[in-house]
Amino acid sequence: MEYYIQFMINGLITGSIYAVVAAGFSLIYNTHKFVHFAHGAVVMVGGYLFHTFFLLEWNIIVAALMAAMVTGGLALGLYQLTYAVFYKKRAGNVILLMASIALLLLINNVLQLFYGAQATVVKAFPVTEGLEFWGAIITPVQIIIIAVSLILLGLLYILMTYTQLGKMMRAVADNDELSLIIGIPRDNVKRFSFFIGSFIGALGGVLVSLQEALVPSRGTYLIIKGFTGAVIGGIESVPASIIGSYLLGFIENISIIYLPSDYKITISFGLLFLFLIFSPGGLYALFFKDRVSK
Amino acid sequence: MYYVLSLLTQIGIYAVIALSFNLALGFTGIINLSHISFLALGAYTTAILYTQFGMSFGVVMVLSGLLSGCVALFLIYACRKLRGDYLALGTLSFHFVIYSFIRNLETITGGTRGLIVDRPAFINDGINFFIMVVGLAVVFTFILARIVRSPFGTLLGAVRDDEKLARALGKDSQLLKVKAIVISAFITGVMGGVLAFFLRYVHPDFFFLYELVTILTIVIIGGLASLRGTLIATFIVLLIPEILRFVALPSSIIGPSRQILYSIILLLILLIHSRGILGKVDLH
Amino acid sequence: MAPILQVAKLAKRFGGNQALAQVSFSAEKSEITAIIGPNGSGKSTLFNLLASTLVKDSGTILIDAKTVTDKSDHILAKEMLSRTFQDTRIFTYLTIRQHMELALSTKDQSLIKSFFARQENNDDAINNALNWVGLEHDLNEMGANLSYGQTKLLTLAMAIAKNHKILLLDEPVAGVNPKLRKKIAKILQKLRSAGETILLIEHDMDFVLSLADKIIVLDLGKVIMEGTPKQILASKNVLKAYLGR
Repeated sequence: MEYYIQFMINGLITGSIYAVVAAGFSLIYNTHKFVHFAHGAVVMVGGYLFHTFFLLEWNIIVAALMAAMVTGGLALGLYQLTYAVFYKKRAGNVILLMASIALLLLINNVLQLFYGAQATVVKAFPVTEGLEFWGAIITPVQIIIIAVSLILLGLLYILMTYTQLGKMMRAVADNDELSLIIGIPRDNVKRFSFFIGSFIGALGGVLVSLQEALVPSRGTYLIIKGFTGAVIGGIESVPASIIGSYLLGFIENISIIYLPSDYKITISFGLLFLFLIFSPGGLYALFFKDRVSK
Repeated sequence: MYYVLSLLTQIGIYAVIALSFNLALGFTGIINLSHISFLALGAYTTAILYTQFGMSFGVVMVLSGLLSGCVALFLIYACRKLRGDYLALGTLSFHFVIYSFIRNLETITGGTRGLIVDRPAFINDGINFFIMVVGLAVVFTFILARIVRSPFGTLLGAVRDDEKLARALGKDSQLLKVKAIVISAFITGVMGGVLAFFLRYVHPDFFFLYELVTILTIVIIGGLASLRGTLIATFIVLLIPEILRFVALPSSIIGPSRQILYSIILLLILLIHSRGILGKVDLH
Repeated sequence: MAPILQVAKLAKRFGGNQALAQVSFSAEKSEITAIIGPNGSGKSTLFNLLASTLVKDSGTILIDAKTVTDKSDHILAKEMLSRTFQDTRIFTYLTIRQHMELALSTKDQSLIKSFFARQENNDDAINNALNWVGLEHDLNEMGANLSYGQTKLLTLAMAIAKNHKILLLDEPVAGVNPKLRKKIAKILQKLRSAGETILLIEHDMDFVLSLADKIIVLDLGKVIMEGTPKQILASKNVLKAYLGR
């Protein structure tokens, strides 16, 4: 029994990180309707900038927020240089997908040039002994990760539901053309959502850095996990993407009970493939399909 | 001399991989982002069957191609309902699945330790190896050129341009796609075997996103549905990063710089001229 | 002689919407049969069921007294049906010659045969088919470079050239200028005299009345009337359904 609780807690921690990655990714997907794979690399930029600011002995919260701000700004710059140009040329989604894979590798390798391929450790918190809950162990850092991701997702919910900007983003997500007709500054809303998505993603990178050493190529895995979570839940909906990501975290950690831990990655890739084939709209489409269409 | 020979051999191998990729992507319109997994399957089949089971060279080559072809058959069947960017994502995720299996099936593939590959004696020498690669490249290029110029090639173009209309003309578009991707995967599988012999070593990370971007860059720069363009682009794309070698940079910088160069080239060509050098078809 | 096309009690439902209910009609050989009806009357659904691009819920379709409802769309197309589309479709990057070669050939699907085959010169057959529609153009022109009218004629030529028993034409004169409209009407008359069986959907009432031998009126998924143009004109019911008056 204790065994299971430990795996559930581990699943919650992993899921929290995936959820933060997926939230930003899904927000960008919904306002732009293309798959921004480079988001994984953006997440890592957040982690590494946090590392740099932390070494400057900044306050940890300031370092985290600054890292997210700067990452968001950089991401927006890249957006203007690439995606925005593709939009102007009315390029198809396949081109955007290829471009986003190229961007992912570009940022990955720039990080590698700056920080090296070796693992970079951020010692933000002293290593402390874990606390015990019903026989399962959880460290304070892990509690922080869970709490921060919940707060972050809560703030995103408030932003999307109660603010003018959030409502505009949802209108753009709902119907791109129509939103322009009813007088929403569509392009600026898109830019803003890209910034917010990257900002959240960068904070995901900060959370990653609290828990494990940073490696540039980790971004590729993170985006595949975030993407998988989003597809499992339902990429068309930000909340569904978040739920799917927590689910993925649980599935991965529970699978370790039955399979060698290396198979974690096979399981999530396999799930991604199966969902894309059988239900590209994820669980959301499976359960709510009838209500949505026809 | 050894350096030039090895570079030319590499160009020969990549040219064929890219040409067969173009058969699926440019000539048939199948956005198959799992092409590198076919390469990996061929490479590992060869590594295992030749080095560990001691099967003969010819048999190993054919089996490498066949395995890739069979897996491609499964993939295209599984993805038969996906179109456009969802097909791209489905095939990309399949690529990840194959990659993770190769990583995880340690008892068979050696996992992250990789596998050492012995070379048959007759191609142990660099020159002989090069001659073999040139021979294969000529044969495969001839076959592909013949296919795309034949009525069958026209059929593939019809499927690419408008599948519904092709079906209304009585053409079995699904069967045509299967044929195209199986040929593409077979050739790539064989070249995977050649690549394994060339490198004398296989590792899962040789077959990840990086290689996909290299091949994509070659095919897009050369242009969709142009074999000649792909051949020219293979030279350009593989020679450009060689410049970095002469700047005497440490290898820890050369590695990432190469990738940075490729990603920037791919981005620029997509941004500025997505038809490439000799492309006949636009990406949708 | 039995009608070449016999449709009996054909039904199709989309979710809660009964698109077609118990539709029965027939079409005679060497005649032009037109299906008319307002938007949403089920014309397109009927066409897609005939071409087997949709699967029926129930009912039978007989062509030449043989049931065809279990055949998949491309096999049906290969053996008996030629069709055109409402949204004019074209192979963007293929030449006119290649379009026509695709329509004319039946055996080119085999890779091996195709691989060793010599390039055939079938310009005569191609020109013959293009003559039917009066499309005079460089055979090496790409689909992307053709005008709207030219693509309409090219797709019609392909449908004629392809082996078939029945021609299904989906709105042949939609969005077409009056000159081309006249031209297409003439082509269809010529085809009928040559013994072609034509089934068409059309919005243009005058076009249909002047051309068709038989008209079938659909409304809300049901056949509400069937008859010659004269009978249809005389019926107030039809005009009411069709014109909404």
